[in-house]
Amino acid sequence: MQQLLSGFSDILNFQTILVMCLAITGGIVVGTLPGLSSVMAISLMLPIAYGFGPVIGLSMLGAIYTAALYGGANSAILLNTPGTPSSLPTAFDGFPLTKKGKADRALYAALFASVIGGLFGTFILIAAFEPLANLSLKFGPPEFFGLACLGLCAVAAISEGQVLRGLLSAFIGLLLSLVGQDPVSGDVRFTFGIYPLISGIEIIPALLGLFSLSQAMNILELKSSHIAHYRAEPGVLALIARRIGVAWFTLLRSSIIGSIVGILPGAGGAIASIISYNEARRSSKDPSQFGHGAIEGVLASEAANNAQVSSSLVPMMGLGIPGNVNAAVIMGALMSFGIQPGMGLLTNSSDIAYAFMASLIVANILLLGIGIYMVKLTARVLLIPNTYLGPSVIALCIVGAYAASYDIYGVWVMFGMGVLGFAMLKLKIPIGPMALGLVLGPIAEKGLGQSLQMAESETSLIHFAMSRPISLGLFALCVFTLFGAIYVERKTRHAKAFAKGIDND
Amino acid sequence: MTLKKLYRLLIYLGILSITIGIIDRFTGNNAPEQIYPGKSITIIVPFKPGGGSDRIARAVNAFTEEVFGREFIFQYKTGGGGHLGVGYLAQSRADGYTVATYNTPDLALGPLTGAAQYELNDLRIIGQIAFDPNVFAAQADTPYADMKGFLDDARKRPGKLRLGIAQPKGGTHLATLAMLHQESIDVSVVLFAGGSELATAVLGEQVDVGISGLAPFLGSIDRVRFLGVAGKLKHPRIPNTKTMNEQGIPMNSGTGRVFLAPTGISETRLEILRKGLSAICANESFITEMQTSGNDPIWTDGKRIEAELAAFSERATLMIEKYEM
Repeated sequence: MQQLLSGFSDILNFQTILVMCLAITGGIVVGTLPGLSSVMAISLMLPIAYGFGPVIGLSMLGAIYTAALYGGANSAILLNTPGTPSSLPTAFDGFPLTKKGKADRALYAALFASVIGGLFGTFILIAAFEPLANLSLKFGPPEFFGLACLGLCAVAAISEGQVLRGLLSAFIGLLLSLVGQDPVSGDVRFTFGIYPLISGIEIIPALLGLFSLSQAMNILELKSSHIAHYRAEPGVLALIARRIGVAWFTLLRSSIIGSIVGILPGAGGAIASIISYNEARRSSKDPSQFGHGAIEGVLASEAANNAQVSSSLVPMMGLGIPGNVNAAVIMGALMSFGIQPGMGLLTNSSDIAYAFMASLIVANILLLGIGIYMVKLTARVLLIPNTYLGPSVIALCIVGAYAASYDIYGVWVMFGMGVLGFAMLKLKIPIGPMALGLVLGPIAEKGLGQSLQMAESETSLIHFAMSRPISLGLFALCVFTLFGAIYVERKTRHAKAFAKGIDND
Repeated sequence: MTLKKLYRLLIYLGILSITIGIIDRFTGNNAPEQIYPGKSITIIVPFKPGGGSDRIARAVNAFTEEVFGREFIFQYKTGGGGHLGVGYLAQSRADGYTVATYNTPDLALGPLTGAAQYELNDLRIIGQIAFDPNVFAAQADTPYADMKGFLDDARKRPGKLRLGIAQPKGGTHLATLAMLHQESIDVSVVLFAGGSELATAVLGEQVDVGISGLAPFLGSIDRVRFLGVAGKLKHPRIPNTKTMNEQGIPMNSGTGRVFLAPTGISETRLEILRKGLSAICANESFITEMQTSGNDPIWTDGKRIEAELAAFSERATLMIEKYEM
């Protein structure tokens, strides 16, 4: 505690706060623009971070990471194009809200949820990063397979009302995720002789194409002049603040899910946010609203993905093993400052470690302030006529796809997926499940492949499966999720029938 | 300025830029040797920024100004386990202004397993700045004192023990399979994408023993017992761990960090690059910098590495067929 307070005193000076404010503003912009990612921003700012020294440099990188993950919600809500895979579920309810003219509600909700999730995740990091790092070790390949399956079940569950189409979409995503190298054996498949496909359908160009490009094509086709009608509502801030108070349990649960999934190296924010979204939907009084503009959906998704920011630093700080690319880059920065993350971190470099963690708390608080101001600016994107917005988004997609894959092939992937996404829009097949299939496929496949390899040393596969309680628990949750989906569908049907005054039994 | 004049100005600027570009393209190689490198050299890093290769390249970059007059320009080309970036280098102009960093023996393995699109003789090796021998590691509570103990137990219980290997179809994978075959050992092999994943699996006891470089274990070194070093010499960071050779099990496996240039580069320029990089490698500050991230720099000239890789390729072709990789 003492060390944490001294960490705060290292942070709370004019220079650091100023740098963090600039970092947050930049991070929000980076997250909002489709095609730019937090990894890009952090990597670009690395040389500057080195110049600033460990305390300010790390605070800056942490602030960018936090703000960029929040920023992804903006484009998800306004343009139906998630800035990162973890903001995918935010688009499910955020964009319908925009279409109804309530974009600012969704934007403020995303902001508050992100800050609350981020603070929760950071407290968890500070309080328990060594025990949590140990917990993350208990997750092996069978558990990752279980987790990925849970994510896929959640995807199926949220396609309520159009289950077949949702599943079709998810399976197309899974199929596309097979392109490239087998994650376990290294065998190359489905590249059809096109060498760059050896790295598979890269996720950022694919998302850009599926969501951004298809959306740009869609809005150019529409006769309407703008994406949605927007007029700033007075009192929205207070309204949302009240809704937050009411939805405190959703936020808590989502933050917990985000924090736990975040500590698992390689799990990713998308799993956290989709599971959290599905749980919120399952326990909501009116699940049918989800997918059509339920604020709780936005809250659940955003709280989870920002809680995951701090907890993704747990394996890196506790074991010296980065859990995702952002953590890897930050770890690179730490090591360049001569700090070895891992077990010795708190003994050898506790002042810098605690200053960094304190800076994450401060970053979230600053995010709230700067975010409230920027929401008004970001919402004005909706005032741009489609004739300018469409081509701008297409240009950003091309730049983003190139920047993400460091190669022109990423742009072709983006175009290909864009055409596919547009076709799916026309056929009324939801694209969300496909994107999730694309993200979760490799995790599931790697988990299954490695589990089968591990099982060879056991007497039988069943015997092996039974010896892994966490994995069994996750599969039980899968079954629970699927039954829960059926239950929700019944509940909705009864609610609708009741509303019509007809008894369906 | 009228719109028409503005358009005309833009067109003139466009033509000017294209002309400069064309001139630059055709004069690069004609610049006199004495002033090489007259402009910045681009280094292709085939992995994501912030990773091990990037950090090493950045460490070298801190000294390039002293030696070459200018810093490198970094270009990242990820994909295919790094082979994509190397393939890109192989197709670049061989004027000495594009180099890349990558690892051996994956450099030689890629063309043989189909993971790479280039051939080994599309590239010239400037030199190797560090060699990181692989290590066998187990969780600290392991019953084994060394690899010999593990292998003896594996003989008694064929197929019952798990050995984790980092990077499928990589140099470590091949070398480990060869060792297991040579010793007639039957273990269940589990493949992991990279060192970080493997280290997590070892720490979490998902496997009994794992093999990878030392770096991913640095953050949790007190929770790990090292059972053997797979290189010719002991690892300076874990001096108490015997080498595999010392335990009676011949094995030489590790990752060499090399710098590459495309074939066709003039010998003069290649020599300048070699001299420059070897000077950096001998620099005290560079050595200290590298050691903070767990690397121990020793310069090996490219000619020798090229010869070693050619020999390796021959052996590897046979092994790949045998193990159906």
